[in-house]
Parts: sequence; structure tokens; C-alpha cells
Amino acid sequence: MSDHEVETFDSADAGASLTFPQQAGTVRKNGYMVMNNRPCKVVDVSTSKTGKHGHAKCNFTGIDIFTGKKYEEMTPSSHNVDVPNISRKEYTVIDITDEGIVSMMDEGGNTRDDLFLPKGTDEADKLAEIMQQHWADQKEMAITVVKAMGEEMINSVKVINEKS
Amino acid sequence: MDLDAAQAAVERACEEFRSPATAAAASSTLLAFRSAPGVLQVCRHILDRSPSLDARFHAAAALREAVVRDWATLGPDGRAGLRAYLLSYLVAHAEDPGMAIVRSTLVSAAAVLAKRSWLEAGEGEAFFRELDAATTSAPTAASPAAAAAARLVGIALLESTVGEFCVATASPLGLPLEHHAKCAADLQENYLQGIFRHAVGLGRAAAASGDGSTAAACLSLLAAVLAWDFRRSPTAPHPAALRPPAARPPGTGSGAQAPAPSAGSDWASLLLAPDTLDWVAALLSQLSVPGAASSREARELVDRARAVVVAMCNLSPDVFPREGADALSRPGGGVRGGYLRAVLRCVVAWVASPREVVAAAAAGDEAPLWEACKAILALATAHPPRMLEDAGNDVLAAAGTPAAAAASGGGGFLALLQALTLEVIRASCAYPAHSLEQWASECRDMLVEAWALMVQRDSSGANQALLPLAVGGLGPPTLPGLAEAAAGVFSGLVEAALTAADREAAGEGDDREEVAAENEAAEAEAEDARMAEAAALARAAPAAAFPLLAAAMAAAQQQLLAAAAGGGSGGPAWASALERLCWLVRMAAHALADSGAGETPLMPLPLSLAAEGGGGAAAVGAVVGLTQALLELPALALRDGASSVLSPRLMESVVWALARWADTYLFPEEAEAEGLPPALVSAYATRGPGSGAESVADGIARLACTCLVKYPGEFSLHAAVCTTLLPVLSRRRPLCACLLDASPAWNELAGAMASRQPALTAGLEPKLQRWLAQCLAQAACGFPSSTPVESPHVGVAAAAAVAAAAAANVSGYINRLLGPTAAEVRSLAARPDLAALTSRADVAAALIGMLEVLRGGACRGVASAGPAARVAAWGLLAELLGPLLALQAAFGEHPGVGGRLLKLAAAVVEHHVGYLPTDQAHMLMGWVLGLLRQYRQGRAARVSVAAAVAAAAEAAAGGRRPGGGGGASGAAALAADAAHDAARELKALLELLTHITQRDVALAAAASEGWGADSSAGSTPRSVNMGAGGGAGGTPRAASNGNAAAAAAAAAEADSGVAQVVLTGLDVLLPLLTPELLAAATAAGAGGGGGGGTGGKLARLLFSLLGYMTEVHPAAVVALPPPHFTTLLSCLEAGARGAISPPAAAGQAGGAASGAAAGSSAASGFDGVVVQSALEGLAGLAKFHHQSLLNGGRGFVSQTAPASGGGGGGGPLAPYLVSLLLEVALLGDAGPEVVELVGDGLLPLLQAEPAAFQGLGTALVQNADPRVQGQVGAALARLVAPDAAAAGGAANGGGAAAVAAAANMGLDTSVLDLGRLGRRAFKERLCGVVAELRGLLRVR
Repeated sequence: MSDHEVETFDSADAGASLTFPQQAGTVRKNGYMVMNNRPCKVVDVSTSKTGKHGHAKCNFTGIDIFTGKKYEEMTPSSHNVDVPNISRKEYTVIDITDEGIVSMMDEGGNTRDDLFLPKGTDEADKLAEIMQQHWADQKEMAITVVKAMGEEMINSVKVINEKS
Repeated sequence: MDLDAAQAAVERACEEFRSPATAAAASSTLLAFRSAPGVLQVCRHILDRSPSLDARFHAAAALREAVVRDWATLGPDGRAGLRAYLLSYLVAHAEDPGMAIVRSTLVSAAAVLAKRSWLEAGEGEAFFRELDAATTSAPTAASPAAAAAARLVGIALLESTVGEFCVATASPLGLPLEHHAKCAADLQENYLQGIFRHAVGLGRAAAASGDGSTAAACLSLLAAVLAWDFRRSPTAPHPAALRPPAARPPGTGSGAQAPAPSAGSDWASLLLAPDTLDWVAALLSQLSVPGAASSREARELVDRARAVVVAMCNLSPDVFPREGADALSRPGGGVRGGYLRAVLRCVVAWVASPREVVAAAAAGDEAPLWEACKAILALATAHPPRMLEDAGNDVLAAAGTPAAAAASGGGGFLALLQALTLEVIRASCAYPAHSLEQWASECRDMLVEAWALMVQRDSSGANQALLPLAVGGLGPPTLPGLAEAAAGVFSGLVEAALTAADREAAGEGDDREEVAAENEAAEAEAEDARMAEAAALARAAPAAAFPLLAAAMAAAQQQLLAAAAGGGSGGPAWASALERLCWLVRMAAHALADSGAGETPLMPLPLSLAAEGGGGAAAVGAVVGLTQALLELPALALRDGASSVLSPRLMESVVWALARWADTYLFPEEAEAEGLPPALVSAYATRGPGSGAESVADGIARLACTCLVKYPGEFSLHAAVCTTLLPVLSRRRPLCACLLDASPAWNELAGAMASRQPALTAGLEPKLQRWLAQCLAQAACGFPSSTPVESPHVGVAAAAAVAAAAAANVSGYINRLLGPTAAEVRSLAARPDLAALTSRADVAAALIGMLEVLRGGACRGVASAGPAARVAAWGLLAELLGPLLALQAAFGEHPGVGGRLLKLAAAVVEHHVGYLPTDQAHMLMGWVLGLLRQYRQGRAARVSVAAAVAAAAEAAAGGRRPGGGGGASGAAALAADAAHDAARELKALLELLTHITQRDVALAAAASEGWGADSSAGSTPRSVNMGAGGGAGGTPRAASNGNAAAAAAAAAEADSGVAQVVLTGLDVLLPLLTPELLAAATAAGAGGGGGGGTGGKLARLLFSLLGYMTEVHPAAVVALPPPHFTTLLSCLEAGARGAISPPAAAGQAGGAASGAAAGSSAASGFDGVVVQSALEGLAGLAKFHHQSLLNGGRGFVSQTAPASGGGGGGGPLAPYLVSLLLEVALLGDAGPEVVELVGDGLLPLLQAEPAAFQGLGTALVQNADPRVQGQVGAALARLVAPDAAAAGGAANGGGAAAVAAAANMGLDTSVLDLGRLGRRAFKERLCGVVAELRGLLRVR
């Protein structure tokens, strides 16, 4: 085991840093990357060269994982780009208020109620609709909260106890 | 009058058509006129009387259509009358220049009419007789001009007839292809030669009398006949057809299109007669006098004459009679020589002075050059170069023009050809590759191809008859001067390429880059083909060409160094030196080695024959010299700071070239090394102090390291190293041995990978990390005697010791290589803060890399490195099973990690499961089971919600922008991406399950008796227990009990492990297959699109796995808990119906819409593989049931059919299966192969459950139309009992009774048995019955 790996795994503990540098050439489609200071999922990568005998460049197209906006960026492939640290955490829903505030509880029993129903994109609106429907039907829900670069959003939901 | 009114209407429409305002209405009037019934009379009326040319034209066009449409109603007299009318009309109006277009339309109408009635007796004769009478005999009374015009019409009609009869250019007649083929064969057999002779005669006469238009018409008729698509009649195969056709070497397909089958030897006397072509030649020489061809007609005449000459050059060798070698080498060259002289006389005249011809082409008149190149290529394809040269020299000597002599330098034909090629190459240099001046590059390609063909064909003067396959290079050219001339052309090519490289380097603009990017792959391929041809030229004269190439490389290298020393890195000199080197190294690799794609690479044949021949030393020296020049570049690249001077693109070319060279020359396997000259063996394939081979291998390995480390972020360079160069280096045992033993660079690379150096982990894409690990692991095959040595001198014990030592070596290497990575994975999995680490991008990236390294190294690499390596890798993997489960639990939701983990699991199973001892296999199976359960927990509910959301988002997007697929919104794109991820994971899962079934094969080989007993044992208590255990989550061990014999128990236990794991996996998998996924799957399968490729494979994988399971493990399947079984069955049903729908939906569709589903099968992407697998699965189930009942078991009675609302409880299974199978067979239009598959399942069911068939048959009869009930009953009865058919049919109206009676008889095992003969008879019967029933059931 090289020193390098041990050091990087230990140096920054969870939460210490929002992003991590990675060489642009190794970021492929389906990966994540910070573009325009937003966490994005990379949906397309193409490479080109500066002139015939120049170095490779990467052209990225990414989609903001929260807002769905599209960004493009070009970087020399040997340079580093920032890759967002993305965490997913599962909670059980304990309340959804009329204002759309979701109260939730994690595995350890800690509760929080600082998140709203997802909104802003078609997908998010639909998800919010589904959650409200489940809540109205008194179904028990588990939700996944995605957190990246200090921003959080409810990202998916599943019914954990169909019978109730 | 009616006709007059119609004429007036057409004339008015023609008038109105000219005005834009009324054009639309007029055109619809005209179209209606054309398709009106009985239009023929009107047409004739208009043609005869109308003053308007437009109206006449429309009448002619309408007539042409009506001939086909109304042919049947005309009657024999009407047809004859119409033909006579057409001929006389044409002749009568032959002179009117304004009528040209009407004439040509009528000519084609006459041709169509002739062809339509051709196959009736005497029609052909009559047609030609009348034609002759109308066009040549009758008008002699009139003026000579009228006679000439009539002749012209006759020729045009003949040409149109030939075109109409040729299958490739025929117009559709609404008749089957057979009619066209018969007409074509008849014309070819009986008339075509006559037409040709006629055209030659007329043309000769016209040329003699200076009648240009007739001569032109004759020439185009000749060209049409020569372009005829000759086919041998099937009854009398031509002797030439028995010989393999003169093969063209692969890769030279560019340039001229492959000629159509040409005339056979029965045409020889006609085509090869000297007077066929001499008048054309005379005509050409007459017109080629400067100033002679000034008028448009004359130029056209020249063009047509050239076309005929080129067509004559395209004659295939079959035409020529067989002549002895002495006849061919005589002065004059026999028949073939005569022909060659005749055509070359024309061709050489066009290019007698190359410089002027090329200058003329540059000035805009490229036709002569172009046609000459076509002719030369065609001749070089078909004729031995020696004969070509003889004939060419004779022609040149005969021509004796001072210009020709001057141009060729007195060197004869080859010199002329060389001069021409060099001129064209020079000209093509002057025009950039993408300019509009296509002629230069195309002519160059044709000429170079001709040269390549000539040097490859010139096989030691061999007789063509002896060596019909003499193309393809049998040795160095023996024709004096040919090799030298080829080398001259090659040097021209090199020069031109260097010039082009300079221009490329200097003039690079962004816009051109874009254009190039679009068809980059196609261009690279074309460039490769060009280089292969050039390489053929170079190999013809290695002693001359290779040093030239080497010198050019050295010069370019000097230029590069000078530019770099002057600080000019980035300057034009630097760029042009790089560009030159790029071309040169690729060219050198092409010249030195073949691609070896798909086969063992050997030294190219021309080179090895040259090395064996007289001047062998020179050839070997040339090869060595060029190799050294090629190896100079890596040496340069290894210097310090080289990466700033040598561009990534150049390194890519170097890596590619070295891989190609090394594949052939560097330490080949012993058998291949025998083909190499000793000098090369000692230089590049011998280890020891005296040989530089070790340092070459080490240098190449170091180059690979350098490329990976010193060129960060250069993805395509890294890909070239990892996927092209390293696989070559690690493929062969001797080379691996050398690298492992004596290459510090290789060991450094392995060490760097093992210690996970950043450049090889964070700096390298995961996929390439996998390739790297795979190649490094694969090299373990090079350890000495890692395969047991069978030597009589070594005792058994000693041999065992040696083998053990070797195994220790190998396992040490594998452990060193992969151990640290495995340890890293273990330590990561053991971290207490693992959950917190999952959000870390760097940790995830590193983990992805490590998983890929393990997949490449510990699975794929060791699989080809031998048993010792595999055992060592399994040792590593076995310790990782637990940690990997922990990692899946933590990282499973990470899109990159989850999928790769499953892929790793699939690879582990694929490469190890077949070789493990039983206990280890059980461990692996248990692990896979755990993995699957965990995956289900993580995914099951959530994915479906996500998919619903995705569907909703897509629906919303689609609603806003109907049909707007291009610009999906971000959210929809994310959702689609998520679906892709899910599909990929599911595919990995399916592959994992499919690979698990390999264990069956291994076990079958190990314990065939236990296997056989189990698969046919039916529903034993043991397998029921096992299945229940699977549902309840027991381990495979719980399944075993002590009833069976030890061997059978072991086999059966492992066997049950397979079934259990796979079925659990399917239980996990099936709910995850959403409608979207499978819909995308079928769409992609039908369209073959790139993006959804996973989808099509997904469906096929799924159904072949399902089919396999129900066929091989039916007991386990039947013993499944009912809901699970029902899901499986609905899935099979969906597949069998060809309408792919997810199990949930299939459960609903299954009962409710039986007809609709079958009806939609054709519409919704009918996939043959899927249907076949599903039907095989159902048949497996049916056979199992039958067998089980015979053995006193219960079959699948415990299960029920899917209910219409989804879930189980839909009634007994047997009637359901019978009706499903019958539906598949009867509804829809499945082909006989599907019906036969249905039969496989139906037969055992009929035998086991006659009552089910009886009930269904009765229902079918009652639902059928009352008129056909009796017939339906009889047909169904015949299905089960052929002998009872008469009785059943007699009982008219009592169809139901017949079915019942027959079904009861069906129990008689003498009528229906499951033996092969019985099955075949049943299938045949079923096909017949199905065909009949389909018709009956559709009676409305």
C-alpha cells in the first residue's frame, strides 16, 4: 500500500472538503464534476487537440444535479478539475407540512425539518407530487437526500411499508 | 368525339402546366390521364394528331405505363398491333429533331412491351424480325437521310431493349423476379451476340462513311452490351464458373468497382476478333489529331469510344481461350496478346505523353487521363504483368511517336507507366486532399493500386492456368524492371507524402479540423488501405525502398532535433518534422509487417521469400536497417525532456508502429520463428549477451512506461499503449519470459501498478487501468515451465518439484502485482468511517480503479496465464469476498461503483467458477447470493419509483415538444442517464447469472452420471426442499440430504446451488425490469442503434437465461414459491408472444388480451432469439411435466397459471400452457421454425394432459365460424391422431366430438411418443394443421 493512498484517505475527513481535484482526462461520461461552481453530472465528453501536435483538451457537457441546467466547459486534459463530494443519506419521513417542509428522521433517531419538497424541475415536481400523494395515503416513506457542495435536495423516495 | 375531347383536355393541361398558377391542377389532370383505364386509344390518337409536342410526350409516357397495366386485356392481336404501330410511328418520325424526347419515351415503351410478352413462344423472333423490317429494309425506298434516321431509331431501340432486359436496370413490370431472370437469360443466350455483331457492323460502316451520329449510337449500344450482367445459365455451367474467380487481394477494393460477371469464353470469337476494336481505334486516332474533335458531337463520339475501350479492358480472364505458355510468350502473344495490343494501342495513345496529359487534366480536360487509369487498373487486375509489358512495348514500338519515346526515355511500357504515375502523384500533391479536384487523387489511387496488383501478380512467370490464385504475392517480382519501377513509384509516393505532411503541418485551421473529425475513422481506414498498397510496392524491392524510407526517417529526425535545439518547439519546422515522422513510422510498420488481425502474424511473404532468394542478404539487411530506423524514435523518446519535443500524436503513431512490428519480429513463438531468416532471429528473437533483443524488448517496455507517465491526460495515447502495445507484449510466451526475466522497465511498470502510483491510478482512466492490469497479469505465462514439462529425462518427482517451483514463481508474481490492491480494498472495507467515506469523490474514484484492476488482473489476465496464476488470483479474491459485500452495502448506490462491483462479480464467476473445488464453489455461490440479496434491498423499490419519475418527466417533456427528441431538458437527460445506469447494472447482473450456469457444464464434465440422473429425475423431494430453501433464504448446503450416492450428491448439491442462485437472482431481477427498459431494449434490438445496445442484449440475455433454466433445471423452477413462479411464467409468456413486456404488465396482458398480444407481436419488435428461448423454456417445462408424471411424480400440478390480474391463482397450468402454445402457433404469422418450437412443447403436454387439449379444442370449434366447424374439428383431431382423421372428417358437424374422440386416443403411446421420430412426425403434422387452421379461423 503506498503512502499516497493512505494519506489521501485519511487527510480530509468527511465534511472537511466539498470537492476533490481529479485529472480532467480521467473524468468520463456518467461521472461528476464541478462546472460553473455547480455540481454537475457529466453527460458528454469529447476530446480534441490544440492543433495537430498539441496536447489533448476535454470538452465537457454537464447537467446540474439540482437544477437540471446544462453547462459546458473545456479544459486541458492534464489539468485538474474539481469533482464534488456527493453524499446520499436515507431518512424516514415523519411529516410533510402544507408549506412543503419535510420533517425526517435518520437511522440514529435524529430528526431534522429544514428541507422542502423538491421543486424546480419537472422531475422534482413530479417527485414532490408522489411524496404528497404517499403522505395523503398514509404510506410510510423512506427518502434519499443528496448533498453536494453544501446544497441538499430530496432525490428519491420509496415506500417502505406498503400495508400501513 | 370522345377521343378529341380527351386530346383537347390533355393539350389544355399541357398549356396550363406552364403557368405556375395553374400548374398544380394541370399536373393532377395529367396524372389522372396517365392512370385512366383504356388510355391506349387516346394515346395513339394524341400521338397521331396533336400538334403539341408536350401533349405527345405525355401521351407517350401514359402509353408506356399503360403497356404494363393493360397488357393482359390487349390480347395477342392487340399486342402485335401496338408493336407494329410503335415501330412504324418511330420510323415515320425518326427525322424530326423536336420529337427526340417523345421518341425516346416510345422506344422504352416498345422495349417494355417486348419484354412483357417475351416469354411467349416466338415473340422474340417476331420482335427482331419486325424491328429489322421496320428500320433497315423498309426505308431504303425513301431518302438516304430517312434511312439513316431509321437506322438510328433501330439502334436506340436495341440499346433500350438491352437496358430493359438487364436485370439491374430493368423497370418494374409488376412481375416476379423470375420473369426478369428468364428474359435476361433468353436474350443473353439467343440474341445478345447478334446485337453486338450488328452494332459492330453498323458502327464500322458508319465510321468508314464518316456518319458520326450512327457511329456514336453504335458505340453506346456496344457499351450497353459490354455492361451486360452476364450470368451463366444454371443448366450448362461454364467451365470458368467451376474455377474460383480470379481473386482480388483483400484491401484493394478501392478504385475501380469490382467488374460485373463478364462474358464467358463463348464470346471469345466475337470479342477478341481483331476487327471488333480496330475501327474504334481508328476512329479515336482520327479524332485525336489536334483540332479534329472540336465540335460537341465529335467530343461526344470520342467519349463514347473511350467508354467502349474501357469496357473492353474490363473483360474477365474467362473470355480468353486457354493457351499454352509458349503461345503466350511468342511474339504477338497469342489471342490474349493480340487483344492486349489492341486495347493498349488505344489506351497508350491517350497518355503517350504523361506530362501533357496531366497538364491538360489540370486545365480541365481530365477525361483521357481518368479513362486511361481505369483501363490500366482493369488490365492489371486481369492479366499477368509480363504480358501487359510485352504488349505495351510492342505498341510503343509500333507507335514510335517521338513524344512517347521521349517521355518513356526509351524504357518501354513500364517506364511510361512509371512516368505517368509520378506525374499524377505530383499533380495530386499540388491539390489539397479535400479540394474539388478529385481526379488527381483518384487517378493516383487507381494507378498505385494497379502497380500493387502488378507486383503481387508477377509470380515467377507462373502460368495462369496452373495457378489460378496467383494473386496475393508469391515472391519478389521476376519481371525485369518491374521491381525497380515499383520502387521508383514508391519513392514518388514518399516524396509526395512528405510534401503533403509539410502542408498539413503549415495549414491547419479550425474549420478543417471540424470537417476531418466527422469522418475521421473512414479517412484513417482509407489512409491505411493506401499505405498497404504502397507497402506492397516497397516490399517488391526492399533493397531499394527500405533504405529510402530509413533515410527519410533519419532526415526528419534530424530536422526535428534541429528545430527543438533552436527552441522552435511549436514552430512550423517542428510541426512539419513531426508530421513527416508520423507518416514515416506508420509507413515503415506497414512495409515491415502485416496487421496479423485475427491470425498469427508472420513475416510478409514477399519479404521472407526475398530473404531466402538469391539476394537474400540485401533484403535482410534492408529489413534490419528499416527496423533500426524505426527503433531510433523510441530511443529518442526515452531521453530526458523528450516529451516536450515529441508530440502525443507522434507517440501514438510510434506506439502503433512498434506494436505492429513487435507482433511479427520480437520473440515470436518457436513455430513462427522458423519462418524468420536467421539473421533476424538472432537480432530480435534470441536472448543472450550477444543479442540486442533483450534491450529492444526492455526499451519498448520503457517506452510504454514513459508514455503513461510523461504524457499526463493524453487519453488516446494511453489507450494506444494499454490496448494495442501492451497486449502484443504480453501475448507470447517467449516475449513474456524475456520481459519478466531481463527487462527492468517491465518490472518497474509492474511495480508501479502494484504500488498504485498516481500516474497509473488517478492519471489513468479506469478502463485503461483494467487493460494494464490484465496485460501485466497475463505476462505471468512467461514464467519458465509454468506448464508441466513432459521430459523423459526428468523423473516424476523432479518434474513435480519443478512445476511446484514454477507455480510458486507465478503466484509470487501475481501476489506482488495484485496483492497491494487487494489489501487496499480490504482495508477500505474495514474502515469504521466507511459510511462517511462514501461521499468522497476521491475514495470512489480510487475504488472504481481498484475494482477495474481486479477485474482485469485477477479475472481476465490470469485466465490466459495458466492454472497456477488462476489459483493465485483466486487466493486473493477469496479473501476479498466479504469486504466486497461490505463495499457494496456502503457504495452500492454510487452509480459508478455499484455497476462495476457487479461486473467484477460477473468476471470472477466467469473466469473462476468452472475451475473451483466444490467447497470453494459453494463459497462463491453463497457470496453471489448475498450480493444479490443485498442488491435487492438497495434497489428494489426505489428504482421503480425513479423509473416512474423518469417516465413522467419524459412524458411531460414530450407533451411540451411533440416529436422534439433532440433537445431533452436537463432533468429528462438526467433521468435517461439514470435509466442507462440501471440498464447497465441489470446487464451485469444477468451476465453474472448466466456465467453461473457454466458451473453446470463443469459439473457435467466432472460427474456426468450424477448430472444425467438429476436432470431427468423429475420432482424429487430433494429438489423441492432446495427450492423452498431458496425462497426462504437458506444456504445451498441446506439443500443437500443424504439420500443420494456420494458423487451424485456432490454434483446435485452444487447443481442445486446453481439453480438456487440463478433463480434468486431472477427473483431480484425481474421486478426491476421496467417497461421502459425492455421497450428500449426491443427498440434498440430492432434498430441496432448504438446508444441502446445494452437494451437489445439485455432482452436476449434475459430470455436465453430463462429458457436455459426452465430447460435444465425444471424441477427447481417448478418448486419455486407460487408468486415467484408466476412471475417467471408471465415473463416467458411475454417472450413467447414476441411482445416484450415486463412481468407486471404481462400478468395483466396475459389473460386479458390473448389475441391482441399475439397480434401485436409483429409490430413490437419481434426478436427471433427471444421467442426461441422463451418457447424452448416452455417446452422444457412441458417435458418435465410429462416425465414427472411418467415417473409417478406430480409434475407442475402444484403451480397455477398467472391470473388475469397479475399474481398466481389463474387456474390449472396445463390448459393454460396448451392454449398459450396454440395461440402462438395459430394467431399471427409465425414462420415454420417457430411452429416447430411450439410443437416441442405441445407434444408432451398433449400426451400428459389430453383433457386440457380436449377442452381447448372444443372451445376452438365452438368459437369458429359455423360453416367451418367441422373442418376445424377434423384438423385438430388430425393433430393428435392422424389415423383418425378420416373418421373425424366424416363426422361432419360433429367437430367437437371428433376432437374429444381423438384426444382420448392421444393417450395411446403408440401414436404419440417422445422419441425423435415421433417428435418429427408430430412437428410435420403440426405445421400442416397450423397452416390449415390459420386459414379456417380467419373465415369471417
